[in-house]
Amino acid sequence: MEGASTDDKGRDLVIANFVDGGIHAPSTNENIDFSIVYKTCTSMLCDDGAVVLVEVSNNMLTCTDLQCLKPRAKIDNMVMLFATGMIVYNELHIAGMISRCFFNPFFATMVMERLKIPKKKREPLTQTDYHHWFQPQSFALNVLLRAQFLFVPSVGDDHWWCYAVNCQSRELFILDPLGHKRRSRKKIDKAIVATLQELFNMIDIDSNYKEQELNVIEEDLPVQPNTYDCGMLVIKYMELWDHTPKFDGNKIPDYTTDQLQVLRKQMVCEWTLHKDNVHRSLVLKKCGMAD
Amino acid sequence: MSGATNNNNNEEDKKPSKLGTHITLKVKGQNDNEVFFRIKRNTQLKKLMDGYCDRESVDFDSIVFLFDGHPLRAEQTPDELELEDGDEIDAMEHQIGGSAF
Repeated sequence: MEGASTDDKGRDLVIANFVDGGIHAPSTNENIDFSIVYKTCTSMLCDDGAVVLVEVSNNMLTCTDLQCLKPRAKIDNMVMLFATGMIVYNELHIAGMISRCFFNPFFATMVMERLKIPKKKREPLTQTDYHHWFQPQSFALNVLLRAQFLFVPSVGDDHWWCYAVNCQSRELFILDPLGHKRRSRKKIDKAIVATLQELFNMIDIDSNYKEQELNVIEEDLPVQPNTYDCGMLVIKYMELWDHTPKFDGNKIPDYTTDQLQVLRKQMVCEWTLHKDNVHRSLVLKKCGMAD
Repeated sequence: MSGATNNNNNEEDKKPSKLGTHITLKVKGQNDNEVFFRIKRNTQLKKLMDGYCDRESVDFDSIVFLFDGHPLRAEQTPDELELEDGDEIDAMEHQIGGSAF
């Protein structure tokens, strides 16, 4: 096997710096060619779609799931679920604390499904219902009283966008890679805001906090540069966004298509080569490399 | 697998069984429809997943199965996952997002 070219290693380094520390370099192992890892894990060379290639704690990705990260492919809800799980996992294991909490992508799907039920027949959600979709699963919902943000990645009409609640200021930001002109999103916005308001009311009452109304803000962000990277951008929102204009005046970097492609490669390498991935050896074996 | 029942039929299958070789699991769809399956504790979940997809007339690849918010693998068994009688598995639609154009 040939080693990684200087050019490839250079590109990985550039991107690690480019995202301002929001993502960690996948590995410093000189024997690993990241381009081969990316190509192998996202191509049909990975012959059995059901084979699990990444398993970190209970977070799992199969060969089929990883194909969403090949060039120009659209991100699916399994990759988004994994991304939320890994942000929580890395925060807990690196920083030892939780600042970003999540509802996994199926929470928003559930809220959208509930819209199909007549309002009078809709059962109110209980704390158990909310917790069912919550990450970190091992924490009670009232961790939100101490956390910085709650993110709610959402998919519908072939598009990813995200809601982010500042748990302290109780501002609810809508982060949409396509901006805020889509009328079909408005009804969903209303339902998600109401559902999150009920959640915060519940945990506020339980904690003797005074109930606060969520202040909804449509965040102004760079528009996605192509027709397929909204899921990638939502993952970057969940990792990096905190409402401060820390990226050359933008609240999230104004990524080009080429930069997003490098991030796809970096994400696949970071996940498959994660030190706690129990299938890391299998990945390297499929790539023809030794650990 | 002893087969599936929907939430209106066969109360027998809903009752928690005593600790034994079989387990009753509830599979809940996105539309809240519930299907109950009784399977052996050492049987791979693929049998339950295939049974659910057949019953709901959906393609296996169009559904993702989750337990406690985490994906399930077809070759895992209730024993491996330490599932308990009456546990609920979510069957959610596999969705992608690109741009809404």
